[in-house]
Amino acid sequence: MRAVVLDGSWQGDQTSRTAREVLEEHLKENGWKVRSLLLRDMDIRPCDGCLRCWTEHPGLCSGTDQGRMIPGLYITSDLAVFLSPVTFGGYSSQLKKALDRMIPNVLPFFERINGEVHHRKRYEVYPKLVAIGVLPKPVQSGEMVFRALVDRNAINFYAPAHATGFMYGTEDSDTIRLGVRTILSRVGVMA
Amino acid sequence: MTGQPQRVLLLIGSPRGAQSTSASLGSYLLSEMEKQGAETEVINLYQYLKSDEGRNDLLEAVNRADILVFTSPLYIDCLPAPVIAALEAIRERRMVAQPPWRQHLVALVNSGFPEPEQNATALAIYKQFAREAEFGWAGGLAFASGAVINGKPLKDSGFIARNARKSLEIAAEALARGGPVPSAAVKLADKPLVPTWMFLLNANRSWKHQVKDPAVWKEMEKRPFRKNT
Repeated sequence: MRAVVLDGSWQGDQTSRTAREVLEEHLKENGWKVRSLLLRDMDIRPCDGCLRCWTEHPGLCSGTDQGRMIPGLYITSDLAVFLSPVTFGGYSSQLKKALDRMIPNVLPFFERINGEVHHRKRYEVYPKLVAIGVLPKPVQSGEMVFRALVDRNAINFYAPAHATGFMYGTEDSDTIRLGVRTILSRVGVMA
Repeated sequence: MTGQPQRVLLLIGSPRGAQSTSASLGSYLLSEMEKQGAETEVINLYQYLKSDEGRNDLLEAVNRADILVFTSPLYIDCLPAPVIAALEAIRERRMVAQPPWRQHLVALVNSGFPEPEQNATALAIYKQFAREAEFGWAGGLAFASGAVINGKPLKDSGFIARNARKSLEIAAEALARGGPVPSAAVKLADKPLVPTWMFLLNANRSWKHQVKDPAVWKEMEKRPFRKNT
């Protein structure tokens, strides 16, 4: 089983670093192959909306930077983890620059699903999705928006299961460890 | 907001810049506000964020404004990454210093889906930004089926864009008076531009015209990546 961790944290964010290390450790102990991407250190340019991934070479981004590999890494995984500081209730620009490059993984065509229009699947199976939002302290309004956003992403990324959790800057590594274990168990990853 | 003539800054958050539907919607609101006496300025976020100089110019422009109008497409259920980068930079600057007057923020979001409610998380993020960066929240408008407008000036978009135009006219009048975006404007923006069945028919057919190469058309559903088991 393969997992990809998309780490959208900023330099100096110790909570995110601990969360990522604990995630990697737990997953590897349980036989997972883990690929972590520290997005702030990668050359990933913004999606330019050219749509050539739909109109010229279906399923492949035409960019020449490291963002080109994001759709493939994501779709060949069984579990995807979004790790990000909760930024105005959403993801950091570091995580989002990677997610914006994922549209090749769906088709340009639309269909109605549960009464709402979505892009059709390109692939038969998509990874489970776990999102971990990191904050200095609990912020209810921001966390509500973050949960709603992950719920929407899970629909549009066709995640067969998804879970959202939060880690706070005040937490020690044991609490983070417990939090990571709990979130993973909610998508059926590890007991 | 005071009801005095306003300095309004339009921040376009689309990679298509001035040719985008985001620009069409924002420019129409701006032109309506100019009729009400507003001074206006336009910034293309994708261009300005490419250099330190552009970033500084952006932050200076934000500091001059009474009202910021963000206009952006829906990308992966929220804002495009460069727009988030701009919000991060603006908040960082405001933690150090901000103008002594109360500034307000308006957000316009458009998507390729026919249901405006798909834009709700993006609007909620703008609202949360306003709260955290200490702007007054003057409201947001969600527009569906942006591809129907497809970057054309709204005034030239005919009958199909009538509700979008009216919504923005109502919003401009209220903002110029110093009020928030009224619910009447929100309701008009929320009205689908076309029925869902028509959207599905036209949107799915339109790709046939956009794909120039017949060989590519045959491979539209190709799966270039496979799991190694």
